Amino acid sequence: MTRARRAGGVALSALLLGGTASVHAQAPSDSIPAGLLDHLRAAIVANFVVTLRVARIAAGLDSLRRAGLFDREARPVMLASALTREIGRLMDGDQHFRVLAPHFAARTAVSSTERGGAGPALGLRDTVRTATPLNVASPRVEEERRANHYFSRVDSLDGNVLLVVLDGFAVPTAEAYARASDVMRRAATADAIVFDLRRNGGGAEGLNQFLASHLFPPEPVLTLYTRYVRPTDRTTVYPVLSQLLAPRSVSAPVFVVISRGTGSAAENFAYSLQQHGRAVVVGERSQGAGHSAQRFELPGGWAVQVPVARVTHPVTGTGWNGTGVVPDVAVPVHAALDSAIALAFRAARR
Amino acid sequence: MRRTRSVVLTLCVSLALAAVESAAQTRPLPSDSLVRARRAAALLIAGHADSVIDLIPNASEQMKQQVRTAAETFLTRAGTERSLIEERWIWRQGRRQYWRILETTGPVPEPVVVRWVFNDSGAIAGIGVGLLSSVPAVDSVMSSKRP
Repeated sequence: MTRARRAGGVALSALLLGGTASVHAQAPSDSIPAGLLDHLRAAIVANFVVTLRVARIAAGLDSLRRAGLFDREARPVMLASALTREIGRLMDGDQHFRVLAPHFAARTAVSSTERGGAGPALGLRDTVRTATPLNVASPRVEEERRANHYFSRVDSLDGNVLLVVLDGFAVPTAEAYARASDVMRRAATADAIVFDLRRNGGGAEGLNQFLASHLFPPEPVLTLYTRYVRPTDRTTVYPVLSQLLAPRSVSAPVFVVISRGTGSAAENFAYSLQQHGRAVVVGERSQGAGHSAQRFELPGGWAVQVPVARVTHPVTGTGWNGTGVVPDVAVPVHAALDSAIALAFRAARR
Repeated sequence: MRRTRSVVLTLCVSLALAAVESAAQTRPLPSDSLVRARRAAALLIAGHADSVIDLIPNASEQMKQQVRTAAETFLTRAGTERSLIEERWIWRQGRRQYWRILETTGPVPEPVVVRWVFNDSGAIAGIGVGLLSSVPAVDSVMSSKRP
């Protein structure tokens, strides 16, 4: 985060909190379209990956309707959050489920190629063996570009330990792949690598596989994970990529720092490396967001993000959904990075 | 007879506890509580964790760490405040909380809530930052105000 942005934050906050805040977030739409709940129900029933839960969710939704949730929450953004909370409970707290009110749906709108964890840009091929940059432009991509594709810090520390603080997984554009390659080029000459993912709640599919691929040899082909997608009823294999832009770092010790803030694609990265014995995971148990979501548009500019896919690791035959990634070295979050760096420093000297 | 006495005793204790609780719930917060809550939220959102900590009397190390983590998380994940959606005072687990529900500049998919927990003396005693859909259930909403 830049100093300029911090300063901007201070100025903006001072302006808004000075007693004159009057901008209302619901400006784009103050009405709730008829039939919204029916469309929402249909999207969930047809696509939610845990099919055994679908009937219970449908019944729960009907109960919410009868209980008058719509009547109590007339404002779209508040209703969207209430639906996210209530339906999310019916989904056992699945953290990928989300209902988006028009205002937020518009802000987070992406092209069709960005939608979901296994969107058409990856082709839903049986095996994703090469990285395919997405050629897209959207507010989200622009925001991620400004945020340096979430590479918040890349530092060479004592002992030739490379620290990579990655706060999200950006949409895998060519620029994002190039930035990741720059980082992994430095990793290739490091004696140990620390990935700090404590604030990484996940993001788009692509860069996790790309980064992890740098840490394994190209042959024999190792499967990092597989993903079953319910709407297409297909399973896709995600192996170590065959071609990369930067050299690989196949022997340097790797440490991944996680916390309760680590989710989804970031958990995938940590879990894949951990279960293949390629990294030591340090910190606190992660979120347990092991599904992937796809966005569906609803009437009136609303949208819903439905968990449509589940990830499975070849070593465990399961994933981390609901359980989280369990660290190899359990350390409270505030001390986890220092512990990982100390471990990396010792490992680098060996 | 013994059972009757026991029931009466239980009833008396329950009534006494209810009275204590009721008294605590009706005791007003200091008049500057809203100003302090807003001030603390502004500082947190601006990333001034140490200034927030200065507003919390006898803050424990754990509390200080929570404030620092919350400020950092807000800055990196939520950005800064774009607009105020609503302010609320709520009861939860016998304590009053101030909620500031915001739209932020960061790529978050719904409103963000900054929460301050007040103790019986009217001092800030806890913090929470998260998406609106993730806030814990409340006992009751005391008041809410939209801009």
